[in-house]
Amino acid sequence: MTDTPLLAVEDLRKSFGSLEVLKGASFTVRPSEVIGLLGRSGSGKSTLLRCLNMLETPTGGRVLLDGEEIGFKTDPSGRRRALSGAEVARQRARMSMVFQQFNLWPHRTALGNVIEGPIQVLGVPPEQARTEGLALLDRVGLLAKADVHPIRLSGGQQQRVAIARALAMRPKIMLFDEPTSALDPELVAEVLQVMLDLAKTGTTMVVVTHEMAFARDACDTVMLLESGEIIERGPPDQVMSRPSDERARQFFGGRRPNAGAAA
Amino acid sequence: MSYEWDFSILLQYRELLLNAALTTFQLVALSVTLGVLIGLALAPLRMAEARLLRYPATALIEFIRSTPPLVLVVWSYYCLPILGGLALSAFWTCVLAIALYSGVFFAEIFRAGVQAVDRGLVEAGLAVGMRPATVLRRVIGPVAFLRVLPPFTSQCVMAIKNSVLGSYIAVGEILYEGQRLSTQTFRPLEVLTLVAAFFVALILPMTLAAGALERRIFLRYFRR
Ligand SMILES: Nc1ncnc2c1ncn2[C@@H]1O[C@H](COP(=O)(O)OP(=O)(O)OP(=O)(O)O)[C@@H](O)[C@H]1O
Ligand SMILES: [Mg+2]
Repeated sequence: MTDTPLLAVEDLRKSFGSLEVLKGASFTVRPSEVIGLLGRSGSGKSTLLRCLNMLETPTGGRVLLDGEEIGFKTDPSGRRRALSGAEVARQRARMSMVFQQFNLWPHRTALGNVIEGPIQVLGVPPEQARTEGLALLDRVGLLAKADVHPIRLSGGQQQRVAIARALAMRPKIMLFDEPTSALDPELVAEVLQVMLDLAKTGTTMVVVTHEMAFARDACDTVMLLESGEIIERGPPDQVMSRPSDERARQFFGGRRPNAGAAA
Repeated sequence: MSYEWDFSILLQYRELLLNAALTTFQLVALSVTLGVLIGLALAPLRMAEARLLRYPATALIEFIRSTPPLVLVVWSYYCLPILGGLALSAFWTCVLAIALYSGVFFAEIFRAGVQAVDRGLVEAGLAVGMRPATVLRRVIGPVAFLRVLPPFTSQCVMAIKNSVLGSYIAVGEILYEGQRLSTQTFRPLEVLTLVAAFFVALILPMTLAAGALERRIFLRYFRR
């Protein structure tokens, strides 16, 4: 791990009308770092994550990936303008997102979902995309389901395909928004296992999660978001067991990670 | 009943009847094609953020939808020449009127199809770096198409049925020619039964096939 940040978030703000959801969040993500983003429902976790890849346009602050500002451009004269859809698309191709609701494309098979981005966006030749896509499905344990449409897959399987789809873009960073929250309890472990593997093999990740054991075992850093502000950050053990903020103590009071591995 | 059926009359006038059927086919093909184009043009306007685009499109759609199609055909036939100096043949007037009538329904069908596409699927496309146009082509289009197919087929069936409205302004389609023939030959039962059978033979297989296709699509892509 080096100390040059891969992702730098500076004073990020977002309001929906008069509702101020993000009140100036700043943090950095180093290469291979895994960050857990925790917080009550409605604290702004999804909004923060979605501002990183411009699914929501921030109302203030900046996001820098490898030093390049996401979503905006400042020309030599100092004027800042929003990038076009095509330019933002090019930037988004370098960061992947995994959604709570999986969001697999229903008209494509598992493999079809995985190779769509590489072929359409990266221009990878179809044969190569297939080979690589099958390898990724193998990695998430779903090689046998390559030709199956999403509705024939369990929730856990769908989310693993979605992870393979995100990996297929060879992203610099992966964003996860509560990837196990829509799953039946017995399917959570298989998804967390895949994510734990990714974390251990040096994937840079920002993970919104309510899985305290996962946050403790997989994350280098956890941040606690409260009403649009990061009120606590640090190594999981420190943040979870000795939070300095009273609101953080309340949050973790009811959410001790169980003993044992996350998965 | 002592009516004596004599279907030989149909054979005798087969050329006239075939020509009339051909006119019906042309009427349907042209008005559906044109209607789809109208629908494709109106749907994005109807969904536009800008009121300047959305309001006129919505108004047009609602006006046409509230007009009985026969009124539309007759109105076009008598009023278009006066209003626009447009001297179209009865055939093309009929094509235009039915195309417009079908077109506003197609527009609503397309709009509903696009708006029914889960926002999450669009975001998944954007998140892998697709441009908005690529998302439209690779995600919204195909998913909406699958959803739209059943109502689209029903609307095509309606267009086939509406083609007989041409008979009111003397377009030589199957009902018009059938009626003329039946009065000329005093054989309404044979001729008009043929006309009815013609539409059943055309539409029934279509609706059956569409139903089967709908079930297949549903089972394959959408059932949870
Ligand atoms: N598009 C939007 N328009 C208006 N308000 C929004 C929008 N998206 C989110 N919000 C509001 O912003 C606040 C934060 O929402 P957000 O989804 O970021 O919370 P969250 O921490 O992800 O919660 P959860 O754990 O339930 O997913 C909430 O009050 C929500 O109602
Ligand atoms: Mg959320």
